[in-house]
Order: sequence, then C-alpha cells, then structure tokens
Amino acid sequence: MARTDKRLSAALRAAQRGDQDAFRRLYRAVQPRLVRYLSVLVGEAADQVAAQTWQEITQGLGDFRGDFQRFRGWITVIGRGRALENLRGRDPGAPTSRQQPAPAGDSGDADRATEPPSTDAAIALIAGLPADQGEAVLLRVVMGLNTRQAAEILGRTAEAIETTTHQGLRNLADRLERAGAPPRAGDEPGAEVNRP
Amino acid sequence: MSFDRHPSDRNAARDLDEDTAEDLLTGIWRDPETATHPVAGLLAAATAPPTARELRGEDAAAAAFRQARLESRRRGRLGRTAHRALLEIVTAKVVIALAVAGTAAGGAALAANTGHLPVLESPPRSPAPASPPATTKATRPAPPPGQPRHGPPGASTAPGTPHSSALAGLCRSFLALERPGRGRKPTVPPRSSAAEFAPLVAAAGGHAKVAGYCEKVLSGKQHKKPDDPSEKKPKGPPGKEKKKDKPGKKKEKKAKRVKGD
Repeated sequence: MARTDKRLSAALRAAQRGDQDAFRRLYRAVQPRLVRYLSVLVGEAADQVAAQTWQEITQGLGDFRGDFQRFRGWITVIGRGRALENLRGRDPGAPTSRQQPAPAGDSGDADRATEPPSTDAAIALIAGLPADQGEAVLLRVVMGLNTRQAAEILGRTAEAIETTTHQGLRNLADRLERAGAPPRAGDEPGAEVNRP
Repeated sequence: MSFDRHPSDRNAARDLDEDTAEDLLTGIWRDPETATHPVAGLLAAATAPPTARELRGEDAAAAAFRQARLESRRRGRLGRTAHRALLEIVTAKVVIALAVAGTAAGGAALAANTGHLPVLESPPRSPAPASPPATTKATRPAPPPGQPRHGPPGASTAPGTPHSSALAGLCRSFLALERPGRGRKPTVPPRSSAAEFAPLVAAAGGHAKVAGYCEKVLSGKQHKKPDDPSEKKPKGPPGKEKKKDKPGKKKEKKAKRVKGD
C-alpha cells in the first residue's frame, strides 16, 4: 500500500506538470472507489457526480499541494460536496438519498458460500449500515482516508470516527453472520477460535 | 440503531475486537488471522479492482484534464495562484488565531513573551488610544531592551514589529509571489508551505496590508525614506486610518489633515 501510494504520489506530481498518462493512472486508482462511495450517497447519480468531481479536480490540480494521501482527502471533499449539492437539487418526493446499489445478480446461489461477495454486494451491505457508520467505513476503507481526514470531512473528532468505524465493522460482521453466508465460510475450520 | 449487538450474538460471530478492526481499516495486519475474518473478505470486495464500467469516464476525464491545462496556461504560470490562495487562507487563520488569543487571553501571554503587543496594536479599527496624532509616538510601547533595531527608526515600519530584517526577507519572497499576473482563485484546499508568511501577515496586521507593509519595509531599508522624516508620522485618527500603503502620498495627505486640525 505504501509503495502504491508512493507511485501514485509520483503520478500526481507528474499529472500536475501536465502528464496526461499520469493523470489517467490517478484516475484509474481513484475513480472506482469514488464511484462506490458516491453510489451510497446519491445512488444512480454517482457517475454524473463523479464526472463533476473530476472536472473540478482537473481545474484545481495545478494548484494542489500535497501527496497522494492528501489528494484522496481532497477528492473526497469535492466529491462529497458535489453529492450533497446533487441531493439538495432533488425533488423532496424523489427516492431517498441513500440508495443502495442493486445486489449482485451475477453469481448463482449455489456457489455463493465459496464466492467472495461481489463489489456491489459489499457496497450494498455497507450502505445498509446506519448512515454515520456507513460513511465512516466508506471514507476509511474505500476512500482510504486516515482517521484524522475522515474526522475533518465529517466534522467530528477523530475519537468519534474511530468508535463509529469500529461499530460499523462489528455491525458488518453481525450482518454477515446473520446472512448465513459468510464469504469465506469453510475456509477456516479454526476460525471459530476466539481471538485473545 | 437497529443493529446493536444482542448479548446472544456476542459469541456467535467471530469476535471483531478493536485491534482486528483497526487492522482491517489500515490494511496492516498484525495478526494474519485478520485476513480470514469474514469482514476482511467484505472489505476486499468493496475495494476490488475496477470494472470496465467504473472506468468508462476515463476519456472524458482526460479530456477535461487537457482542457484545464490549456486554460491554466492561458491564465499564466501554474503555481502562482496556489501561493495566493495559500496566503489568503493562512492569513485568515492567523488573523483568527490572533483575534482569539487577543480576546481569550487578553493579550497577556503575548505581552509576556515579547514585552509588547506588536500585533494587537496594529490592526485597523482596534480601539487605538485616543491621543492627538502628534503624540502617537508616546503611546507606542518602547521596543524591548536588547532587541536590535533594523530598518528606519520610527513609524516607517509598523510600530513595534519584531525582527524586521527577517520580515524584510519574507517581504521579498512575498512580493515576488504577489506581483505577477493574478489568476482566478483555485479551489485547491489549503495546507502546506505558506505558513512561513504567517509572521509577516501578523506584523502587517492582515493579509490585505502585507503588500503595502512590505513596500514600506523594503523602501525604508533600501533608500532611507526619500520624502519623509518618518519620525513625525502621525498615526491618524483612531478607527479611520487603514494602513499606510505608500509612504509618500498618504503621508502628505495626512500631514495636511494634521495641519488643518
């Protein structure tokens, strides 16, 4: 992860100097996660909001100062702002903001137990968490922000974010358990052993 | 919250303690068993490599990138605008911090440190001592003992500014950044570097005043104040005087006003 970050920090600098290929590398690294995060906030408008976000990113890129970690924070701030804008512009009667992506339909039920969940299914599960937990998990895990960055963006303390994120993960564990199809069931016979 | 754990769940699910949670979040697994936790699989799926569908906007983004490059080249050299934005933001922070320090601590801490209140004295509209302009000098605190005086004596540098030679250096860099063509304000977030200008901003009493302040500092240093005996420079009526921008013109005006009084 650290090495990837270093490479992407280098790509970031190159993109700031005008290297389009470097910019594409950045895009490929960030966009999928951005869209997944945004899909939880704005549902199907995620692609559109992501495009607006990139538009803004390209305009400010030359002036941005910081490494890739900071860049992640920046793009999250912009993406989230655009998402909230998008939500504000909606009909009050429109479907709820926290639309969940359709659960994965591509894997047959038969091999479900051995298949890892699809990305969509995973995001849908996270989206089903209480809003604060879901967003905290998304910021930390999907957007790759650290606690401090997430805290800044959500306007809470780092401790609060830590607690909320852990709650979110525990909730996810419970939900997986209840679903009865933990993605790795059967992998680990010794998995039941309680950790110290 | 609908999914709080029930006591009965506690042992049913594999325990997800704080350490495991943190490992999962950071991706640095102190315990290899973390990898086998069901939630690890879930998070891995959430961060799986992109599908083609997710990257279908790439060409459009690249086009936006090229467009932005063209525009920025038209705007002028890249980077300058960033410094402007940084300065503005840092300035705002410093000003707020000073205001807070001033109100919360009553300036006592500052006073204790420096022997006077260089910053709190200079901002506009601060209730300056209501003394006649000609006697302003008396209301100015004396420089702390042992502090070398650089630059012209008297009011040509802002009253009581410490380390004016260091400030002169900062001024030069500041003006170098400020002068070239101004671009539009970027949407880039703050941070990094320009904290170096904070002392300068503080000494000038605000970002808007830095340029004028610097011109004064530098002109004073370089050619000993062409047209002004500086010592007599009146401080102006409280609350009205904004900040002396150009040493020459404004002073003349002010001198007239003083005479008129």
